[in-house]
Amino acid sequence: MMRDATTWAKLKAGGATAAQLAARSADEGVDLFTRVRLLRSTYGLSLAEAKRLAAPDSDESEGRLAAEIASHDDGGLTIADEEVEALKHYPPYVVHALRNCAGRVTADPEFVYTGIRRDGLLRDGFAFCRRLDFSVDNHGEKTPPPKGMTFVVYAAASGHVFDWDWVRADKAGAPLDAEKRFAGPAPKKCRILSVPPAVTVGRFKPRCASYSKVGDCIFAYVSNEPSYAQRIDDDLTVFVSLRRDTTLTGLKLKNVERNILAVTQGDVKAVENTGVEVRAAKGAKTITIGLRVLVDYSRVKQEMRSRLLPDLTDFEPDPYLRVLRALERRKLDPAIPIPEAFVLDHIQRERSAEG
Amino acid sequence: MSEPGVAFFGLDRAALARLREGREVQFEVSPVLDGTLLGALSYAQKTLTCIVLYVRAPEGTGLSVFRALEFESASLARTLGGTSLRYIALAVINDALGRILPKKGFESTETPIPDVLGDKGNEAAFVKTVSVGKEGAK
Repeated sequence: MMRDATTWAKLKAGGATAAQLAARSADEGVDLFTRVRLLRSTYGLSLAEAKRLAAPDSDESEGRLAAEIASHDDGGLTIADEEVEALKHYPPYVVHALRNCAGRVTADPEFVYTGIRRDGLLRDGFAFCRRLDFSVDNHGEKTPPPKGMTFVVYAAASGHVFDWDWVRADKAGAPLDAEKRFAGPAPKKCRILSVPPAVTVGRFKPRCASYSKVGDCIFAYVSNEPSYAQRIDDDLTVFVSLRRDTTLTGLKLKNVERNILAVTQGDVKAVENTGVEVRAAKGAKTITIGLRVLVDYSRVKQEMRSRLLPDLTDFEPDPYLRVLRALERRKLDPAIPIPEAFVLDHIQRERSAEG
Repeated sequence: MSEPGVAFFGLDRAALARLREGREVQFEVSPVLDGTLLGALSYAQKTLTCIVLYVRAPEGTGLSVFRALEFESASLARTLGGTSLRYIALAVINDALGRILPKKGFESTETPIPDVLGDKGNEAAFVKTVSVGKEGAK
């Protein structure tokens, strides 16, 4: 610093202009920070003017950076404001994964797919996939990544991210059954994910399910154990513990508009093959998703046996059945508000007592 | 082993201590993927402020440099026990970058010039604040 100031003083004594002084001091090895500071104090330049003189390549470099961002980026990703609140009731690891993992995946994906649902708005949505060298736990601490899995971030075409999970992957790192899950591959463009400051870790509420309007799905976690997502079919994904493959920790019901929200008038509806009962009492302000054993689980069991536990011969008790029964025993009854789009005139949107 | 984010910014123990005391610390990170980042850090009220004055990114590395800064500064904020991170892109002189940054969540505003860059006064800047989550950090 002293040497820089001395060098500057000597150069200035020669009566140089600001541009000459900037160039000569650079040649003399005065660091850029000091050059900017001294240009400002000597000639009263604005910071931008001083920077332009002190680092003539900065305009070009900034332009290159802007061009690179623009050419690799279809726009930023974020979380819809109306879905931020629900995240406070999610298991902490879900929020930590959003902060620490999701952005890395969208910024530099190995695979991108479009068509994450067969119909509706998400037909134009995207799935970003990337293997990571770490995962995160409920304290936000890094843990080893689950073997044979990739991290997938799902976003609507609007740029709103609504889901992010570890899923099983093939050797190349692509999600298993990608051809069943997605309409097809999409160009690998970088999308920067900005997580709103309001997204914070809250208190996990295992009895509170939440509806994602962006994702047209319902999330219900019964445990905060870090998990991965196991797709059962187009309508149901279950969350399975990363530690124990036999423990179900929650589920995601998809295609809510089609499957569930048509129920508004005192109906009881079993969503086919998912074991989920949906009830809406007459005049009710909420739809209740009762996790009850209503239907034949043979397909779910079969799916789980072949996919999750291929080497396990003793498959009893059925983890899915067990969890659902436990929920029923404990009278857990997750409930969600009816989304505005489906509220009848006389029904007001209101969070249930559980919420 | 160095704490997360500390090595990236080239902070020694004295610099880290100054930062914890709420004083500004200048950083020059070079090379980052053959690029250079120049700026200043300050920390107060659980918020790490990362002021970037100059970015030199060779062709094809711009985003990587940008992401490295995002990742490492978030790590540093957590190392300090912070809960939020404020980025300030100071004196952006290329209009193209000025148009891109708002799409990345930056707000165009004026901000006080950091002490390490001289005297008082405000300068045009792009500012974004993000939460870095982790509560109860070290």
